[in-house]
Amino acid sequence: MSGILNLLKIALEKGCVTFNYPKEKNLTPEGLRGKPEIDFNTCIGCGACVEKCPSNALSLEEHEDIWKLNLFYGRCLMCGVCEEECPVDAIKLIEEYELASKTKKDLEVELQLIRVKCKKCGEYFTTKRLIENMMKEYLELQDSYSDDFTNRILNCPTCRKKEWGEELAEAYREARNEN
Amino acid sequence: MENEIICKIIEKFHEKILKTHKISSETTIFEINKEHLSEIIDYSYNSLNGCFLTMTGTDYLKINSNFLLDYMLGWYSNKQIIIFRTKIHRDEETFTSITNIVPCADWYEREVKESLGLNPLGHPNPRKLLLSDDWPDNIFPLRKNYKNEIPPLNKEANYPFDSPENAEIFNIIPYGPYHFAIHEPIYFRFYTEGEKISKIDLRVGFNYRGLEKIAETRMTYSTIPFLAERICGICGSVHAEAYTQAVEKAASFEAPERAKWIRVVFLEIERIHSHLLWLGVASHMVGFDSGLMQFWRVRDRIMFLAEILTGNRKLYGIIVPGGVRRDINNRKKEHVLKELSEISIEYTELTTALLNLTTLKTRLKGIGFLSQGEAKKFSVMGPVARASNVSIDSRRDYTYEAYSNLEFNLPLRSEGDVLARTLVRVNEVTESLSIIKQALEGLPDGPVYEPIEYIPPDTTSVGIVEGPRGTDVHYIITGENTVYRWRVRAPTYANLPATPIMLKDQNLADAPVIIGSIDPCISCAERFIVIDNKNREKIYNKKILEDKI
Ligand code: SF4
Ligand code: SF4
Repeated sequence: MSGILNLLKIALEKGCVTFNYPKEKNLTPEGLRGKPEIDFNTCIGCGACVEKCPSNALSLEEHEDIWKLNLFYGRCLMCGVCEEECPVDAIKLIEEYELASKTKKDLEVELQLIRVKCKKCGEYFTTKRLIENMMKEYLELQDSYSDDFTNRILNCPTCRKKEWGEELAEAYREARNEN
Repeated sequence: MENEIICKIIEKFHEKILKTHKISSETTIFEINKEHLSEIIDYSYNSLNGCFLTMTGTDYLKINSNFLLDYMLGWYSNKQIIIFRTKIHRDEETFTSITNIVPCADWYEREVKESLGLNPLGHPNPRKLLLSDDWPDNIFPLRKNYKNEIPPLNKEANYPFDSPENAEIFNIIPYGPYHFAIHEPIYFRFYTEGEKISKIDLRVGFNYRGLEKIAETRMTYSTIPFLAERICGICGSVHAEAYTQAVEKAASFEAPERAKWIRVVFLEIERIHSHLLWLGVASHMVGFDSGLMQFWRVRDRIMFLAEILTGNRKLYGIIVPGGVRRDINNRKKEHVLKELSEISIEYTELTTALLNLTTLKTRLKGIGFLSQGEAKKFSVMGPVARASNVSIDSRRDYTYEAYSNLEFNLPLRSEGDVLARTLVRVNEVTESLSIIKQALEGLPDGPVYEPIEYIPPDTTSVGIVEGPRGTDVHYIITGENTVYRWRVRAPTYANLPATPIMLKDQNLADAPVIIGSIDPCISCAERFIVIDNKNREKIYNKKILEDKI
């Protein structure tokens, strides 16, 4: 019998411990991994987050002159990998966690990024913001742009590779002629 | 000095072992011919008292035209693991079953049969295990040439249940896949005489999701931990840790010291909340809901600690190859230590009060008995083994992360009944509370993450972790950028086949708590069975039911 009394004592002492949700909402501790939010003004469309997202909640859609970065909360694990990967801190996990919705549309976010054309072949390749970011980062390391940099920054990877190949072949030929 | 077990096996079978190679400090691979397999395993398992850890089949056709079969046995007290590897040529597609000599190989061989199409000759019970009843017989999902384009067949198929010889004297009681006392889908069929359960058949596989295939085909080394964590809703980090260990061993990588200690904190937090969850559920299963409320009240404080440390109550997403993803700062550390000391007091108070209740004790005592012999025969794991006086614990025996620096006892009981399993868990919580305290206090300085430079392909590697339910084994063969083969052996896979023994000759009313006592972690089917009073069974599917309604 004393067992039951002890239990009763504990139960009465502790009383009710549940929160009055949703009226009381201060349930989130600091650092809670809630929904990831993309800062539309900062994202450069590099795709680092897309590459590492474990559940494919993030995806990059290629269109003629834009790239679409999609985030679908329905698949998101709130793991925070994207936050860690983003080179410009454009994605942050915020403390919002009540994401339930009646329509799928509410759970989708889409960011459109303008692409730039290759100076050489005229094909669209990466985003405008990525180029701008590269230029900015370059200046953090060097005092001014080198000719090589300004000449090549707007060439698409394919053209760049071609150019390098040609240069390499040229150098090789020269070296052979000298010998 | 070579390990005693290895010496004995080599001495006896030296001309039959083709090759041996050591893949980590405790794991060795023995390559043998398939003709000698049963003989060698019989000796190792039955005479040397090995423990069956896992068995894996791998489609290695592209690489050497063979299938690989790996049987993994462990000797906890000798700190040794041996993988017996045998090759099966692509044209043969058969091997000799060892289920008759090692009963716990049963499920593993059935799984190899349906997922790879290798037929275990002489298997006493070659029924389907994981795939659905209408899965075509000639399509094997774990082969590398499998294309995921087969539509569901939706054809009627019956699962051949075991039925006793004089079936007409028994009542058949279906138990699951949906059952109010078991929270995950598993199907037991009880043949009862009055209240007594005389024969049991068991059907699993309702929750098979093919995670391993997803990982092998669509994911990368760095994203798999998040998938691994989702294998189980309760002991997620255990899986992430076991996978991480396997990858780190394959890469011969040592995680930073601080990360190792932090990992221990999370693994133990998980053990505490899992055991408290179980204690609550077990109280509920015997109709004692005050126990449920009180245990879960304490458990929630642990969940808040996890949330503060990781940002999530569950699915921490913390352990990844290379280290951990969040550090524990001093402020958090102090907070957790303070909370822990309060929780310890509260927990002791609660368990003393509850375990002195004769009603609860009488309900748990003497039911679901598993002898030490049976426990060893079925290689059961974790608290189930330790309640039958089998002293195994991979934290102590295959020590990993920072466990070798921490002091803890191993609660053991010899009664082998449900009460013993309860008490083992109750005491383990106390130990875990002390482990977390030690780990936080001893936390060394330094980084918590270092990237892994290179993971060599075609390396076999094993991760072993003591989860709340027992030893969790992850076996991998590395590939290019992702795992070539990943085999997960959760502890329940080892414990479930022993439930029919625990249930035999028990009262039907005790069945929920006996099944519950292994802390099963299983999941959904749409079909159930209704028995009419003449003992004839009829299977109602969704369509018939809808027509009736
Ligand atoms: S939080 Fe994780 S799952 Fe969600 S979008 Fe970011 S990386 Fe993907
Ligand atoms: S990593 Fe950051 S910058 Fe790059 S696409 Fe994602 S959100 Fe945008």
